[in-house]
Amino acid sequence: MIVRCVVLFTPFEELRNVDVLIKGEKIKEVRPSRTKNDDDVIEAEYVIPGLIDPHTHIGLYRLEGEAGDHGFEVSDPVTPHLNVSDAVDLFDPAFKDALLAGVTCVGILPGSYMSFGSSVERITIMPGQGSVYKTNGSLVERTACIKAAVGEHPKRFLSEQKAVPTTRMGIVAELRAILTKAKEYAESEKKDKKDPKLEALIPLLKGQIPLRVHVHVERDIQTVLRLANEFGIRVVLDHATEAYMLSDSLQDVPIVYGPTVFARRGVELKNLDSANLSKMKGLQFSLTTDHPTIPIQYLDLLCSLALAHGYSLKEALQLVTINAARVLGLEGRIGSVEVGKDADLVLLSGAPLAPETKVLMTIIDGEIVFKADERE
Amino acid sequence: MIAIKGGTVWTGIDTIENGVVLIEEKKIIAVGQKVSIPYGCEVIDAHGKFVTPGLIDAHSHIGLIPEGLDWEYSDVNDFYGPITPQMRAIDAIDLRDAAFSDALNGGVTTVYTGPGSANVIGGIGLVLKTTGRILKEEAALKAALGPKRSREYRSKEPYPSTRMGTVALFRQVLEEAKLWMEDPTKVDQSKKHIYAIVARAIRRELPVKIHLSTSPDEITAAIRLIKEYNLDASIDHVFGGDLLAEKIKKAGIPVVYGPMMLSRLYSGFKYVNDRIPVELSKHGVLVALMTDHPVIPQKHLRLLATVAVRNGASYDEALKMITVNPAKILHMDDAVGTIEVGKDADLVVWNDHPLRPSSHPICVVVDGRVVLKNF
Repeated sequence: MIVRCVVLFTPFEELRNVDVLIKGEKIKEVRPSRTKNDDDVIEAEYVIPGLIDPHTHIGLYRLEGEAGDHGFEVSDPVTPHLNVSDAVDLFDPAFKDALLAGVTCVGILPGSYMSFGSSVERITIMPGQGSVYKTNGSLVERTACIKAAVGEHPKRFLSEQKAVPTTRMGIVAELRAILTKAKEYAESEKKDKKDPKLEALIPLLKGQIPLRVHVHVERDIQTVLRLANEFGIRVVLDHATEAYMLSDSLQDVPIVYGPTVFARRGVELKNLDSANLSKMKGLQFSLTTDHPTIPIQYLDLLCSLALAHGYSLKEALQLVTINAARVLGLEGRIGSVEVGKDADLVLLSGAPLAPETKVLMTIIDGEIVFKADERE
Repeated sequence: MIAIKGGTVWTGIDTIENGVVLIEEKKIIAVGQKVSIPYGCEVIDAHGKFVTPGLIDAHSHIGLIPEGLDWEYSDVNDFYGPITPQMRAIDAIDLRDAAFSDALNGGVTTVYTGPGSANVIGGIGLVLKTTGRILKEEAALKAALGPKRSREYRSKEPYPSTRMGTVALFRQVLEEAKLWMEDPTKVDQSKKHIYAIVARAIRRELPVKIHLSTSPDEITAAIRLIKEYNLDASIDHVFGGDLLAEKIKKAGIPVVYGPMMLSRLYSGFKYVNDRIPVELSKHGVLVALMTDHPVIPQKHLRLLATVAVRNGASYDEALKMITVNPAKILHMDDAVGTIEVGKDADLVVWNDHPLRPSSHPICVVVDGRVVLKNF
């Protein structure tokens, strides 16, 4: 298959009149367009890499608040052995919405979303493992990370449950306790029996997967960095509302920022503002919808706001493509149109991020998974 | 005197290239291409810029759920009982809420803010400028037909638990208010103050905003009630409205759609669909968009119109949904919503068309006063 692009955002460069050759699931070549009519050519105006949202809850909250709400386990605040892929509903219509909007890959994490019906976010201290999916339903990575949370939101959940601990200190002490135990467990020669919780933390301690931490305010970001240093683990800051205050010390820390359009609800979110994007330049961050907080089909809309805060179109697109791939540790496979990478492409009717531009076609792993004339 | 000169002026009626808007005191006194600018007039150069009326949000809770506090600090829903028309938002509003200056700097100049949807009749909302100037202390009576959850508070009266119960209670109050209008001695004297307010809605002196959040059957019930009592009402949220577009059009009822960008969770928001305002508008229904602040921060009102464009509205149609249409729905169109001679001088100069993502206000004028200038 050849996708003949008038304009291609790789997204590092804006190339004109190029052919993207796809062989099987991969991009085989990117070369100047040939005038002759090859077989199997798809003519395209604007082409971008498939969009990526590293932080969603697709397939978990379709039945919020009812039997079938699989956001996180409420019976135990520390459950690193649980994995979202055992709960993800692949028939959640959000997968289709994602395809229609050119979102080709998502991280799905256990934990909270910002329900506007509830008064505040709720989450446990360590709700479990997140996975990475292509939005056609294929599982890319089952155990992609361990999710944790610090600050006011787990505090609130625990107090509602009349459970302990009841402070930030206590929450971090719990995290430290289980990480210490897991370290000892990993180092011990003989194990009487397998401990599923501690077993689950070994890849984290070995640096194979990151700890993705739900965190909003500056003091909690500092705490997460301290914890990362103490255990020599990789961390990703998720939401990271006040990260812009620490832009000097966060140069090397991956951040999933947002959602940037939401109520400044509670002290935790008092500094939430899409305008903070102007102070985030230079950091390695990506953007998120936190679906269902903002529906997944509006990922590019959230991204477009960066254009009002000093980002060029290329820079803005990187926030939802290559930067997101880096957060997921999959930058060698997705996030840009380069030889050897997965053939995840989006064909647009006009310039990327313009309100009137429509997605005409979405390709995942070299397969057409959505075509505009199929729109209902 | 202030002249905004040289921009593309979108008046709400037409677009004037290289136009001039002349402001004297608090009002617009001239609009057009050939307006002479008096000597000594302050000139705002809008060449290459876009000029619109100040944006209007027809449904929000700004100032009632102050930012940076938990929703427990909210004054939006009082669980005193299911019928509380005596609750007035003006008696609670926090004009120091930082959201007001954000909204102002986002080009939003006139807003409705009022009680929430916990009660069948929740209370009276107000209309104000985001500068804090109150335009109407009592702008609309808020009613809500959604299912009422049983409350943990010791309310004065029980809450109905079904839609049947909700509608029946609403109807009962309207009937008793009618009775009060005929003969004030015939009703429960302890509820006279309630009937006096509801009577104003029956006389069409007080508009009604009917909140619908879950499903199309609520819309059917609302249309029936509005017709039966000849209420001056708008249907707000209107989720599922696309399924009843023809019916809403025939009933001649305006709608305020939103908040936008909600997920279609099966439990609460199955009928959410951001194509609804576009569909209804195509059917000829008068449509405005709401932020429902703080659900979507009010400063992002223009972004909601962008969402309407993404869902098939034209740029003009979408811009009307946040200017002239909400002005009409709030009955404020004699003062705000368009750039016309005699109207309040509420104007926004944008660096680009306001519905383009890179756009932001560079100058905001409210009541003839420059409140933001960022050239």
